[in-house]
Amino acid sequence: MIHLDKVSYSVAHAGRRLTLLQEISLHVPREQAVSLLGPSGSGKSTLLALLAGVERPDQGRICLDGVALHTLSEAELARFRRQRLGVVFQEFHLLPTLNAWENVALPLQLAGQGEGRQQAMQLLEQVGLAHRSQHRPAELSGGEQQRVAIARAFVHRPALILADEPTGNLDQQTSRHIIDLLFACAAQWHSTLFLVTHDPQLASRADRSLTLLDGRLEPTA
Amino acid sequence: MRWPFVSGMLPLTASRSNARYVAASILLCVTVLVAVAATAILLRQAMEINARQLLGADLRLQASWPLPAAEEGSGIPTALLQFAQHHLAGPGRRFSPGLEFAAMLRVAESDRSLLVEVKAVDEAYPLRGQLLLEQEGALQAALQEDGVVVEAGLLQRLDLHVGDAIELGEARFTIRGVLAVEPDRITRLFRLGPRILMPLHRVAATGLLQKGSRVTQVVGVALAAGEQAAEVAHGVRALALQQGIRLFTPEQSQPSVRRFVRRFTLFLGMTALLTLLLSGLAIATALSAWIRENRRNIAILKLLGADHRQVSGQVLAATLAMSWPASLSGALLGSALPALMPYLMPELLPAEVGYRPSLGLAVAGAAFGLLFSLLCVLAPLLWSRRLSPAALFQVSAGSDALRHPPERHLLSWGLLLLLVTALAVAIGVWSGEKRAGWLFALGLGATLAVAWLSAQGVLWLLRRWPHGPLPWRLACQALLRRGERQALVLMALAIALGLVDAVLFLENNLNQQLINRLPQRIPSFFFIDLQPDQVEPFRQLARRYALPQEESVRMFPTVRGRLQHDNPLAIEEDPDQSRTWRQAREYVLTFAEQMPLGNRLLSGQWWSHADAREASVEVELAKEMGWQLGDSIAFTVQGVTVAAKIRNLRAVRWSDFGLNFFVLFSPAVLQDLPYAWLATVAAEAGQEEHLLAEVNRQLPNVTAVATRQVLTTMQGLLQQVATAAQALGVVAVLAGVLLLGVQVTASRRRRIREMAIYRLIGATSAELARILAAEMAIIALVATGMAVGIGYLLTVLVVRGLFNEVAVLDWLPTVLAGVGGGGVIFLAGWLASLHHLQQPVMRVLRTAEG
Repeated sequence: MIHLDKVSYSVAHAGRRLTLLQEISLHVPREQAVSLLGPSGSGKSTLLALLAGVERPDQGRICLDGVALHTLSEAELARFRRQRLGVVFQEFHLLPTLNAWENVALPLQLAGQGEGRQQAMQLLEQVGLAHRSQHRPAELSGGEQQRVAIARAFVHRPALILADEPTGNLDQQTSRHIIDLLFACAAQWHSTLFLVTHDPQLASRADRSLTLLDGRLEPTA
Repeated sequence: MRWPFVSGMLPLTASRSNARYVAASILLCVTVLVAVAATAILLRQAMEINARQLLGADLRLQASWPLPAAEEGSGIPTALLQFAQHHLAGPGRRFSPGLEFAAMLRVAESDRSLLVEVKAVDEAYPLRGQLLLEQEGALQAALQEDGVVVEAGLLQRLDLHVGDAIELGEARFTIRGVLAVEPDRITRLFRLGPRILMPLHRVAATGLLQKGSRVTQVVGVALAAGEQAAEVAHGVRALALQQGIRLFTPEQSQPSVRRFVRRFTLFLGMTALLTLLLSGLAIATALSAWIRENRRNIAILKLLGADHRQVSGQVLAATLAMSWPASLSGALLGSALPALMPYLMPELLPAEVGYRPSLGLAVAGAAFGLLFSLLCVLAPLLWSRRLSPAALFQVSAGSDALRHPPERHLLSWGLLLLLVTALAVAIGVWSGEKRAGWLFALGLGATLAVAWLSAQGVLWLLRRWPHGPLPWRLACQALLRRGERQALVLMALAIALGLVDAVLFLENNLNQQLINRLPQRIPSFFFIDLQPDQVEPFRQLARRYALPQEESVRMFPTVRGRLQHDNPLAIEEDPDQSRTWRQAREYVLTFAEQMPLGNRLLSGQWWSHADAREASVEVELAKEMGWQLGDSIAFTVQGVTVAAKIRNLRAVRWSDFGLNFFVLFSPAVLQDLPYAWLATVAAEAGQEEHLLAEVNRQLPNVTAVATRQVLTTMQGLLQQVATAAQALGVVAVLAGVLLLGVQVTASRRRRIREMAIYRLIGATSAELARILAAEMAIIALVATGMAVGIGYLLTVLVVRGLFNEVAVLDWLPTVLAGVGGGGVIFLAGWLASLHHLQQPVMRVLRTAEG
């Protein structure tokens, strides 16, 4: 599902290039759940951005679901994301002007698959928020917002789910709830899950755990 | 492509303040553009659609030949009529001769008198259009026997009524009717007095027209059905011009009014374009701020798979949602405003010229508003295209994704300038003033360049002046943080305010130079049509009432003539270009042994000898015509060619309103031709009425023109134009203030966050208000200073260009402009910013993005 071949990435820092990812190679089979640990600033989220196709590596190739991302134009990458990718963020990133079901239905609408209300309601039901479907993000708690974000990530049945510290802004109990939900949905919809986290306990729930250190990927000890 | 959320839900946040500014700016510029366009079309309609009626005929022949001895007193323009009958006779064509001249009207058995414009007409007048009287009955019935018809204004000014008796020269008449609609009313902008219509055959009885009298002979021609006036005129135009006859077709009627209307509409158009530029900047700034506020939402959409077209569709749909109500309202309001024009500018648009709003123009205006808002969102849209969704991830510092793409203020300015320049040139071409269109575009470019450099200079100074009290230092830092955006706002405000300042300074100059100095600088009266045998009696009479100085009574022998040229046809094809206008116009020519007082010799020598056939030419005319010393010039005077060599060039002070001449000949050139005398008298204070009464009594054929009366008429028109200019100037300032408001709003989030932090660390509301006041004071001071400079620059150019005078730069209007303009900017900006202080601190810090 995920295939990274000697991917390198660097950023400008204090007038010189700082290498974050150094010739990373990785293969993740379909439907596997992978967690990624690493200290702050190690490049975890950057790797996620590369997988989402919103950043491009300096060197190396990334293939997702058989598609080489470097061969796609910006428009093709956008289409690729709306068809095969779902993303869950620490900050939720819901659109404040839309209510819960509208936020969930957005990927379907972008893909030209109609209003998407029925599918959105089905997902909201699954995350336990059907009764809050008309509420806007500002009217929801952090946990509820993240559940809406999870419903949005899964509504178009993506092959790959990227999660960027999805519990970073939540209390312990809510975090556990959210992670349960994330793993359950991934299993139900046969999606590959790539989860970035700081929490080793949470990371251990994945099929496979990796650590990013000094720009290189290693299996978590 | 389907836009699923365009119709129902817009995922972009609509900021109320940004949307309000976009709507207000669109409303302003669409209203002004539609109103100006509708006014221009209305003026054109008044000229074009009713041209035939305004001409009173299909063709109009006009000549200002002094009456030859054979026609003296006959009252029939025989020579002109003969020309028409000889060259324009044809089946179905009819002719209507007439005379137009100024004369003193006296109330019978009374001392009351008034200068009037007499129009003597035959039974066929008017050949086209309809003359209406306020009373029942036809014109010809009213002109039976001793009847005349007068304008209502004449009755008011002399306290007369229908049925009262009046005298013109030696003849007595009875007022039989009051003019309601005169078809060829708009023949000139400035009238010497109210109109009076009399029968042509009674002119002889007045004894007013004598050899060399100042009279305009007119022959109206009605063509047969299906004949084209332009084609008929083309056949005889060259011949007519050679003989000093002007030939008007409906398309060419009222050249001076047309020229004025063109320039007036051009001025309105250019001011409207400035408003458009400022409004466009306000809209672009507001939309740019709105897109910036939505950068996270746009990034989310992109991450979820929205491509550029979908994001652009959202942005454009939201922009249209903000602008359509304002575009529609602006189009309606702009269509309604010109209905007031006949009341505001009665000289140009009499009430009988009906205004009917144009649906097409309203639709075009509304469409323009929508397209304009889309143009203004173009630069912010390009910015949003480069916005990366990678910023949503917790990516490492230094990643390119975290950098916002550079904002494209200069692109916005560039696009708007391109649009305004294109429109300016288009308006120039449409109005027949191409050169003015280009000059406006160039002037705008130069003004912007100066304003840009000044704004940069001010920011440079602020950067290097870190001293002063804390509020001042913090205010300077706030201004510098905004950098280029701040410079653009300063420029825009300065240009808007500079325009209003220019109108204020110009009005002051006109008052100073034309009105206030009247008693010292100009004569009380012009006396026209003095016959040679009346010169001495007149001089003696005038001396009794005139100021003691020698120059208070001045007299010149005059003839009227037209320049001869090689290709008269080419001239008539474009009579409104400055040079060709000077070639086609009629000149008052004189001869003198000595150079007149007040003239200054610039080059060459005075007459070489007593019998020399030489000419002295006013320097600006020589420049425009390309004449040099030694060139030969020739005029047609009373059908005779008069030629002379240019001996010298003179400077003339036209604003003295004294007797001045473009071309002055040596005596040998003109003294053998029949001529009349023209005189000016500067009367003792309080003696004007006595002088006038005495001249009326002793020399009834002599026409007196009270200079103040002419200037009052002129001032009235200038006042109307100034009012229109000021109204538009205020609109331009309003656009500038909107821009300031937008700028304050655009930096709202950052400002609110800054204010919250200041308050959190202990700053009081009063201290924060002082910081904001200092910031707005700097903006107001700088913008006002630049505006006064721009205003003075424009004033100097106009006063120099139009009046050949040095502009007067008084302190009072400067202070008014500075205090008024600066005050408006300061208060608008400060009050808008104060609102930011009212936000709860903790809520701001929890939610603001910085």
